[in-house]
Amino acid sequence: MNTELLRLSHIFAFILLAATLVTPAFAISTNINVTFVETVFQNVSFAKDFELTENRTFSFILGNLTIRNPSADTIYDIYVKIINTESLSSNFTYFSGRSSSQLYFTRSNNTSSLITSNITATPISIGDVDEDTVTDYVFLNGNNISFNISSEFQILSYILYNTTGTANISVVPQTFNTTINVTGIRVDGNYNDGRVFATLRINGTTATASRLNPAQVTLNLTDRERNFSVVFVPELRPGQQTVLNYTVSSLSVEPPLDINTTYTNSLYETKVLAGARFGVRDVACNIAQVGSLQIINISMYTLGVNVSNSSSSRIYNFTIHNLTNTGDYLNVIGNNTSNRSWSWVANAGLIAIGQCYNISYQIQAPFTVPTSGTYPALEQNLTYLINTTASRVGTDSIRARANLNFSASKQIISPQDNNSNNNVTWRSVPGVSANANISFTLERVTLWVTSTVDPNTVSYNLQTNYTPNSSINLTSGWSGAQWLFNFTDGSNAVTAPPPIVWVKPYWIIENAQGQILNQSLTQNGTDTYIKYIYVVNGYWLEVQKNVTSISDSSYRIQTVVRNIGNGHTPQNLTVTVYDFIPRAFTPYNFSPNFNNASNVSGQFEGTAYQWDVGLRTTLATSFSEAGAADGLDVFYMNYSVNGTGTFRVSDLYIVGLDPRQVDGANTSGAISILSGIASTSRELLYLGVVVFLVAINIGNFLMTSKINKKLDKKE
Amino acid sequence: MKTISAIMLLVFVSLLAGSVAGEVLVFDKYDTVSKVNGNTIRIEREMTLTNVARNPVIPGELHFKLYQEDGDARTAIPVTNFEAVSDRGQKLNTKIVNRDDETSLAVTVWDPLLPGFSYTFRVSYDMEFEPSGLLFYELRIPREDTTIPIKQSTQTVLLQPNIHVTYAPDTQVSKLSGNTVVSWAGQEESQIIEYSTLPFPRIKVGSFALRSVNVFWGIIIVCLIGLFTFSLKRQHRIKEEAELANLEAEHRRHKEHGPQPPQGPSGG
Repeated sequence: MNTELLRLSHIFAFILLAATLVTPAFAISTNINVTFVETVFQNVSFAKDFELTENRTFSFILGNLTIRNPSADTIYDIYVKIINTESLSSNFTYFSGRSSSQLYFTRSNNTSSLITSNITATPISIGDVDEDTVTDYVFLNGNNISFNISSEFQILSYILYNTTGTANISVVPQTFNTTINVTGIRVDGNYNDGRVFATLRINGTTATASRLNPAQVTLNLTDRERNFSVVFVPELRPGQQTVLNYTVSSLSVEPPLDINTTYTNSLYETKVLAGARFGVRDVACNIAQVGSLQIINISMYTLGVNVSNSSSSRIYNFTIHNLTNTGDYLNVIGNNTSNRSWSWVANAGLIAIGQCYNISYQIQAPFTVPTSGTYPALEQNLTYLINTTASRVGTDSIRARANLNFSASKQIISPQDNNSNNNVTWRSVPGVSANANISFTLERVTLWVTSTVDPNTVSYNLQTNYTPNSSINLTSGWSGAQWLFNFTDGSNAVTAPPPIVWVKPYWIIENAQGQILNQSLTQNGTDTYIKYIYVVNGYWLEVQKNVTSISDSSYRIQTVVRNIGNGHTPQNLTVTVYDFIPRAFTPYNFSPNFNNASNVSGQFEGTAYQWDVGLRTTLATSFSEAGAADGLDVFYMNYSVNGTGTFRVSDLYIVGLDPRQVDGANTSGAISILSGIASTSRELLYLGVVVFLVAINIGNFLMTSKINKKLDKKE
Repeated sequence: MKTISAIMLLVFVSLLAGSVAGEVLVFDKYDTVSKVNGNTIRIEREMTLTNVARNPVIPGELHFKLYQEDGDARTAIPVTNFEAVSDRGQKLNTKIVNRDDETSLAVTVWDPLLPGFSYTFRVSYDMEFEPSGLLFYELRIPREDTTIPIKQSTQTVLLQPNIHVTYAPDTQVSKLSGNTVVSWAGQEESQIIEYSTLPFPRIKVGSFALRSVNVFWGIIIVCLIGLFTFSLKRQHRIKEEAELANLEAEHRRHKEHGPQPPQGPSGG
């Protein structure tokens, strides 16, 4: 019976091994290709609100992560740990490829866990230290402290601090490693360079030499990892891929190619007369602190102003001129052949981190604009490429698995002792080998023994770990050292069943020989920069008045208003002309008739007449540009006057254009400042009084002297 | 054929078209520096016009009308070297119109001013003005009368190094590069500055400032009156002493010779 049980247990154990742990071994060479592509979208306007400042209509970076299996074999357990996710404004979201249900996403919240009670054999929760939404535990395993971290993605890294105050365990962490067994957790030394996932502070007292007493240990765990995300793809069959999107906050990541604009107009930086030119200085900088900008091209083309009404429409374009022979001017293309479209290949298309290049040129405003206002003058479209992500989002590690062969042997090699019992010494030897042209990193192999079918219940603490951390492939496998342990031979299957030996390998596809590709780049999307300028509708009108004597006391008056500027007068604004006829003259034969008249008095006595030139042109303006073919650049007013009484012909020499129509602006009230100064003095009066007093004093003095002399004679 | 000058145009248009009602432009800054040098005063004034309306504005012409008070009458002040320049160095059109009772200095600002925007410019000119006085000179600057509000202003008067300010209530007096500087903020109803080459201090009795010219001449007059009074008294005393001496001499003569008996006929 016992023998039968023993035999059955052996068969059962190996069936378990075969059924639960051994995976099919039909792999060939494998590649995982992880690619980040970030595309910058922004629309920047300069001086749109008259102020010389930039405004961003929109600005964002759209990220695209593609995880692809280009090989002919199935790859599974694909974990991509992504770091520098602080700047993300959205989670990774499924876009295309294998189903989104295969993915999960974690973000570090810097969780911490403090355990003040002693660690016992009963597992104590330490929270979700790896943030995979599953609670993690710590417990006593014999004399060892074991962590039960549930994460399939073995990302836990830690530093152990000795806070016990015991000199015997001052060598940290080596001493602790001998007593702390981190079950199922990979200690990744790569995380120790400032990227510690968690800090474990262990308080306790020493038991034997250089050992902690596990029964008196408390644990304080603090999660210190930077923000990260994990994308998990359970499986990608040959040629399959999964594509995810994410967005980057424009508040934390500036678009990599930045243009700074300065207007260098001689008098005014913010506005220019219609038809006039203003200077522009563009400085293109690589402000992305991640890599060089490549294949740069800044296409520049001028924009137009639409002057239209219900019946006609016409575009008047801004133009670019006079590229200055300074800065990066040699990399401007098209300046000799076009005044509307240039191309600036800044520094031959390559700008290193932090470098800037500039060009200077002029933009000429169109001669005609509907009215004074801010108009877009020049649009620049930016194209470029960076061989990394602008947001610094990237992979920290890529882990994936494929089929491999593994095994464990078990045999009784000798009786355990000389007593009449069935205790024997068992020997188990694990082995792992590749079964296809794939190179793996074998991180760890664990063997343990149970007496029941429950793999969770380790018998007599019989467990051993192999940490080969070695590369295996078709030509180089791995075989572990023999593991000897004492156990019953299973003769009494009821009270002492034979041991069940469990084996579990931990392996990943080796990140070498091009098996895992990791690429990233940043490119432009719609990256547009538009310069605006306030254009003053600077038409130029001239008014002339001719006074001709036609008979006694009679004069013929001809007033001529002419547009001598290169543009139309403002659209939908009627130019108004005024004329003044003194009271001593009587007018007649107006042609055309005036539109309004008003008596005025004061310095000028007489009647003021007003003519509205009207919106005569097809563009609803009063005047066309000087020399226009339609002849509407001039307006005539004729009339005659008869002088009566003592008239003065010179009084006829007055005419006016309404300045309110300039720039479409209002006039302010007349501004006058009356300043006075005065000075008065009473000193002359004072001086007169003094002179008088001096005189009477002198008189008195003389009188007194005279009296004295008389008295002297008497004596 | 004749092109009419800009001033006539402005006057004409303003007469005809009127002006936009309500507060449109204000002086956000109105700082005047007056450098007094003998009979000439150099004025340098920096101003900032701000459009407080909701629409663009063309300031047009600004008229600085100067006059000097001569009793109840006002007369023009001869002005030379009148210039105006914007803060961007643009020279502005200016002209001087002399009238009997005032001198009008016109500055043309045709730059459109958007709502909320400001325009800063400076004017400078020399005006002939002879302060009255013999030993003490007085400058009296009445409050300026403007058609638009002045939000903030400062006045600074620079006097020659050898000048002492003897009266200038509600001002600050200091030294700058040897010059005597009198300054005040805001618009006083009428600011008086009295100065002299005499090293006379500013006199205050409590919070009441005294005009030094009055104190100085008052002291002299009081002294002279005192001297005159003293002299009169002395003269009077001498006279009295002389009369007393005469009386005493006569009395002594009486005592020495006694009274003389009357003279009768002689028997024998």
